[in-house]
Amino acid sequence: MTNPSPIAQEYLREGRSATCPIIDLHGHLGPFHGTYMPAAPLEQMRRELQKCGVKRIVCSHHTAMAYDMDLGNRLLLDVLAAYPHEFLGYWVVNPNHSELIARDLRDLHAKRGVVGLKLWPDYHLVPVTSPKYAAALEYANEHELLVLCHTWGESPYDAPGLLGEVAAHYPRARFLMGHSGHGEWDISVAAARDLPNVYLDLTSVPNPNDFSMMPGGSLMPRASLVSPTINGIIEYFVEQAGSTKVVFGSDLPWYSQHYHAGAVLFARISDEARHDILHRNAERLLGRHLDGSD
Amino acid sequence: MLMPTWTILPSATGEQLPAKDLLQDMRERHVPALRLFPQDHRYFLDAVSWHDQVPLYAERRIPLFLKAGLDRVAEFMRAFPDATVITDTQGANPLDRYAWPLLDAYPNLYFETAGYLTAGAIEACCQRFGASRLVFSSGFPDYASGAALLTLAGAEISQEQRDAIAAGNLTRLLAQAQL
Repeated sequence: MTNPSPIAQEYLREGRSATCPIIDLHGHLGPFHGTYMPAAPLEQMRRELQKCGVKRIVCSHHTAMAYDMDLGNRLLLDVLAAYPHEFLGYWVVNPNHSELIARDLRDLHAKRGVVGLKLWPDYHLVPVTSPKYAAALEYANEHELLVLCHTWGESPYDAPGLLGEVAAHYPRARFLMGHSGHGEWDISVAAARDLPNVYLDLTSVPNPNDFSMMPGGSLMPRASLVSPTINGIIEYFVEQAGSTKVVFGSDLPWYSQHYHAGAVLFARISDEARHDILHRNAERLLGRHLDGSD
Repeated sequence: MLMPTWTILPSATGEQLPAKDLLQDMRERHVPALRLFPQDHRYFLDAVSWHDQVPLYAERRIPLFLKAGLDRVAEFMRAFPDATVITDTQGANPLDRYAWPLLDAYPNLYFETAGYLTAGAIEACCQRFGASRLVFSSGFPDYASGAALLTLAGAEISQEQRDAIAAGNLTRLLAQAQL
C-alpha cells in the first residue's frame, strides 16, 4: 500500500508526527462492566496515548455514564487533577437526576480541566429535545461549552435531526455529534454544514456490533441497514461539510486510536484536511484548556 | 497475489457439487479455502445441516472462513471441534469474553483482525495465546484498509508476531490444506 502524504509517511516511520499531533475529543475513563477492555485501566490508557502520538484526550467517565453520575464525575476530576497535560473532561449529564444537575451547574465552568458536557440520550432513555436537558444546555450556551452528544441514525432519542434542532436553539454551545449520527450520514453532514456550532466525530469509523445477535443482548442500537458501509466516510464528510467540521475521536478504551488515525492518514483527502481533523479543529475548540490556563 | 475462495451451502438442497466432487474441483482450480455466510444465505450451522461436508473438510484441514456472530461460531465449533475455522466478528466492539473461551477450547479456531479493533486487543490476545491465532484482514471495501493496516503496525508486539499476523499464519493455514 502506497501513500503519498508526508504526514502519513512520517507517522508510519516514526509512530507519530511532530508537525501533526493528534487530539482526541471522544474518550472514556474507567471500566465498563458490560465488556472486557484491556486498555481501560488508567495506566494502560496513558500508554495508549503515548503509543499513538495523542497529545491530549477529552474523556467522560464510564461510571458517570452507566452507573453513578455523581461518583463518576468526581472520579473524572481526580484524573484531570492527576494528569492535566494528558486528560481533559466532559461532565456527564444524566437527565434523570435533575437535582444533582442543578447542584453541579453552579460552578461547573470553573472546574479545572472540564471543557463541556457529555450527553448519552440513547442510554439514559430521554430524547435530547426533552426539557429535562434544558438547564444543562442553557448553561452550556451561556458558557460556550462543548457538548459531546451520542447520536445514532433513526434513534428516537438522539438521531442527528434531533441534535440539529437542539444545536439551532443553543447557538453558542458547540455540539460534537458522537458517532456522527451513525447511518443517517446525509442528515448529519447537513447539520454540520448548515449549523456553525455542529461538528462530526470520527467514532463513526468502525462499525459497531449488532448485539441483538449475541446471547446477552444489549441496549446498543442496531447499525442502520441502509448504510452498512463505512469506508470512504471521511472523504464524504470533508466533501460535504468541510474539513473544519470534522474532529478526531476514538472512543478509547473501546477502540484503537491507531485504527482511527489510520482511517484519516489513508483517506483520500489533503494533508491540510488531515491537519484540521487530527488537531487544528480541536485546538480551536479547546482554546485555553490546552495550555492549562483554565 | 489474488487467491480464490469458494462459498459453500448445505448439500440438502442440491445447489452445489457433493463434497468429494467439490474437493476435486478445488484441486484442479487451485482453490485453497471455503467460505460460509449463514446469515446472508439462511442456513443452520449444526451437524444436521453439515454432517456430510464439514468432517471431510476438517480431515483435509481446509480453512473455512465463517462470517457469523460468535454464538453461531460457538455452535459450529461444538459440532465440528476439529474444523479449521477463520472467523470475522460482526463488528468492532470488545468481544473477548465470548472469544477467548473458544480460543482456549478449539485450537484450530482463528480470528481475523478486521473485527478486532478494541484498544490493546491484539497485544492482549498475543500475550494470552501467542500470535498464531490472529490473521490480518481489513474488511475492504466495506471498511478502511489503511485503518486496519495501522492498527497492526502500531500494536506493541514483536516484529516476529506482527509478521505472523500480517501474512505468516494465513500462509501456513492455506499451505496445510490437503486438496
